[in-house]
Amino acid sequence: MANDVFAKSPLTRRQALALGASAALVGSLPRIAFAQDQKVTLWHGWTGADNTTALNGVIDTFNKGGKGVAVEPTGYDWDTLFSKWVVSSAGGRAPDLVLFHITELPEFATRKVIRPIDDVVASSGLDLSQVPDAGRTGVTFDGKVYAAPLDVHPLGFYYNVDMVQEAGLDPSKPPKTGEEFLEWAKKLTVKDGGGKVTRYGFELPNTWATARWIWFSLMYQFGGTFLDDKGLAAVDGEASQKALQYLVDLINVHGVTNPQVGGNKGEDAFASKQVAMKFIGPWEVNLRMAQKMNFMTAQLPVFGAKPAVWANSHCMAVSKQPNEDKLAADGTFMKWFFDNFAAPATTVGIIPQSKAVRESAAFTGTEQYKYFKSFVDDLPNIVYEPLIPQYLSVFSFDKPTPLVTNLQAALSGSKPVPDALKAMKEGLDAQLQKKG
Amino acid sequence: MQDQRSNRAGKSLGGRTLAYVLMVIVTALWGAPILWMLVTSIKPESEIYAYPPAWMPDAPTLQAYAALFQRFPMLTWFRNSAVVGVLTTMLTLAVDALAAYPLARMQFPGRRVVMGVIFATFLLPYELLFVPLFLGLNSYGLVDSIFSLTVPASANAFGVFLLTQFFQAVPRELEDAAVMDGCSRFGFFWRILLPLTKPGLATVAIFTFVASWNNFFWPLIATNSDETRTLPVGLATLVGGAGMSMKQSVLMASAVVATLPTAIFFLALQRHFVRGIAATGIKG
Amino acid sequence: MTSVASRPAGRSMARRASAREGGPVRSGMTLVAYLFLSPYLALFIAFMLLPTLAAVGISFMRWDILGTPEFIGLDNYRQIFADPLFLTAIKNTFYFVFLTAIPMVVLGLALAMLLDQKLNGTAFVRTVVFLPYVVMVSTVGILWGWLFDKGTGLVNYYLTTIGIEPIAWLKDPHWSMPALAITTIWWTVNTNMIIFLAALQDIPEELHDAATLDGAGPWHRFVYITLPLLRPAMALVTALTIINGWRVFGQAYVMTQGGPEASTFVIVQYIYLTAFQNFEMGPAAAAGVVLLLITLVFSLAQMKLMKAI
Repeated sequence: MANDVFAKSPLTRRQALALGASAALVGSLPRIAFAQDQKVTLWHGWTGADNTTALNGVIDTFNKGGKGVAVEPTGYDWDTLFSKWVVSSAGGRAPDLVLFHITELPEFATRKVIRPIDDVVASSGLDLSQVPDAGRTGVTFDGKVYAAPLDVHPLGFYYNVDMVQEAGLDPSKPPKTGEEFLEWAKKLTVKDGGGKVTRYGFELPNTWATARWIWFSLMYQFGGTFLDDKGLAAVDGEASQKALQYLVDLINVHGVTNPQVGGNKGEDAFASKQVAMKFIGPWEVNLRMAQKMNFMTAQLPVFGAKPAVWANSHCMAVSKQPNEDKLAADGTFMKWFFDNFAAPATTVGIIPQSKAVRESAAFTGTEQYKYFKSFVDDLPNIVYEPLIPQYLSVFSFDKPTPLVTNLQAALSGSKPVPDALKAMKEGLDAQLQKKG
Repeated sequence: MQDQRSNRAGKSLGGRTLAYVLMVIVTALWGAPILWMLVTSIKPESEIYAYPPAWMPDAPTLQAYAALFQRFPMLTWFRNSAVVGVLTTMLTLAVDALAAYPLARMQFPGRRVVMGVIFATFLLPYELLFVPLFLGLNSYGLVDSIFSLTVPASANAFGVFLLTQFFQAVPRELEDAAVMDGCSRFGFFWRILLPLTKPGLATVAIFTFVASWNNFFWPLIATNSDETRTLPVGLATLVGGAGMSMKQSVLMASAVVATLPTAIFFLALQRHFVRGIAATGIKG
Repeated sequence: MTSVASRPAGRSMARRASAREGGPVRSGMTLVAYLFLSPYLALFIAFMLLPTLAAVGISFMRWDILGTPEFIGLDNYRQIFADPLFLTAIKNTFYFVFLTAIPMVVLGLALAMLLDQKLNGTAFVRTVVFLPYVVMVSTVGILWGWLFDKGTGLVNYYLTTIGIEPIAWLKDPHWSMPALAITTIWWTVNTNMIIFLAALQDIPEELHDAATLDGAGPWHRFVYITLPLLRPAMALVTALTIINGWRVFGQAYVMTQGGPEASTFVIVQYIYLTAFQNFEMGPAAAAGVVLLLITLVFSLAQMKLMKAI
């Protein structure tokens, strides 16, 4: 292109000379000063104004750090990120790095759109020993490491301190067991003179994934598992039934929650004071602070025999490319990002996987940390959803999958718990038996 | 829209009062959601869930807009969307008008087939075409370019359909006279037909521009970076997906920002637009 | 510009002289006609027809976008018709068409009649009603998703002020589809209104005046003059409403993602989900072909019906 222009434009002798001279000059200067930074593209799903800003800010710092690598981030919401990534990979236009959840890793590894990075980890010096076992297992598939583990975001317990105090409860002693939780939930549910509920103790919306995450946590607390030994659904098992029945009882027997209240699409039940307590991940800490709410967080109460709490993690993987000349640059950024994760973690509202970062003053010294602490304390109890290649079709929370539809049916009362779980198992097994 | 018509539905005071009451109700029902979007965008985050709902913020703030423009390449996205919108509109007008002329005013073998096929594309679920289209364009290296964002969208069946209606309404005698004066078919098309059907062209322009401005899925697939993406694709990253908290004020501010250009475009062209539709043969 | 051209096209004159039949065939015309059509046809073939044919071809293949397509005959069609979710989607989409078709046509006409009057302020109200048209679908979905919330939404707030119990619009499978229909009507009824307005303005004034002199009341004038003359507009509006109804997706996807309990799961979402989240292009394309056939049958039936009336 540029050559064509030059060939046709009447370039004067002087201009040609000047061009030649400057080219020679540039070529002769020390590489470090004029080296073109190697461009690395990164696609991520950290949407929302604050999250994007946090990520772009830390990447800016990296780019200015003279590492010879310039990272160029582009954000997509999670759904479209995956569509776009697969279509682009088919066209040979995938980005260099992709940031996504570890639960989707087996699917993308199976589809071969990411490559194993044991070599990159080794050459870059990324210290995986800082990461808890669960986090390391999460980024391993078929015995190979496929991604850098970045953070963990478990479910946690948020409560409105004003409401707790009004109800005569002690906000510094949040419930630790199912019985204590129920007592709080009942005391925090408020009715008007006509017996109509004006505020529920607890938020359990049936249109958003929280109900699923809570049920999942309880299932493991009661000693169950989501899949059986053969990799088929175990959701009709005793622990699962007990867990779901407990939630349905909160609605129908105790009347402390209503599946039609709350959600994540602007119908903010916690901020609008329609509920006093909710279980959600650490990513809502910043929002609640911006809303100037008087709230506190705690570890998830233990309803069953042992503590267990749903969690997921972000990770960063290398998208498979026809030529691999950027691997060193990819590794440089991955390691740097892993080591400098405190700032993005604080803004996004997630807990760094790296112990060194998690315990550094850059993270523990933030004003958000008093809310993050309970999530950190719950890390030993985290449970990931099954790491299977069919993850997206089985677990996606915003499509009418067998999982979502039957869970909604149980919560709304249109199906009894055992029927809903039986139907769910049938649907899940059909999905699980399909190849990835 | 000209208002020279007489008042049909009751000249009585009662009839007029009823009409005004209905108009107030209609304005409220259609205007309130838009107004709510505006009001929310200038509320501080702590006021958004006030109850009962407040139509006036206690402490109005432009923070949400500041966040948008300071933290995102909004101007780049705006520029991209504007360039894509204007180019697509111009290209569509040119291509569709050229096609509509013979369809409206000439008899030739294959006319019915061409009309039928164009009509059938109304029915297509476009979502299906994107993967073949992407892979096809990609093999020619045309993805992530202004080409991929404008040209494929220009074969617009609705535009052809609408312009055909407009062109049919121009009297045959005009064309005969022009041809008798030695005017070529293209000369007639360019110098007489197009100027006569400006309202029709304005109508197609509005529909095309709005569609292009609001188009999401194809630009998503066809662009690869912040530099080339259009406004809706960029704004989608503000919304926040699963496990990503969002601020309602920023969301509504982005909605206002996204709506404003098309609203202005519509208001600017609306005189032509409404008259334009009125001039079609649509009403039979 | 000629002096003729600078005059606005006289509508009624234009129509009476309208050359809908296009005039006689002239030799040499075919070449000229196709020369004019050629840019459109070139773009159309490259960017519409070929991808469409590719999609139809894909409906007979197994293909995950990344691998090589493999011909499997009618398996994809068998698979989708054995999939209860696809049947649910067809049923739901039909329900949506049923819920929107009549209100969109009737309300479109009613708004047009109201705003066709010579009263101060009609131009303003027309603009207000048309404004939603320029709002992008994701904004419509987000905005109405909030307006319809049971506890914090404006809809319930104003309903309770007139004594109606709060409704869990988007969280109750019985109300979710009506809520979606209401949103869609708010968003798109304006196009129908505009087409009807145009048609109304084209009805010669003299007809009404004559009928009034003959003692016909407003209702009689509406039934015996306005309605018959609106038939072509009615046909167009009905066709567009039904076709767009079958293709509904964006607002449903943003507001409810097809839930709760799959009550708003529609055909295009099935296509989108199968193609872009499960990456099964074959069944997705097959579902697209089925949708194409459904809309085609509905359009043809509707045309026949309109001609018969």
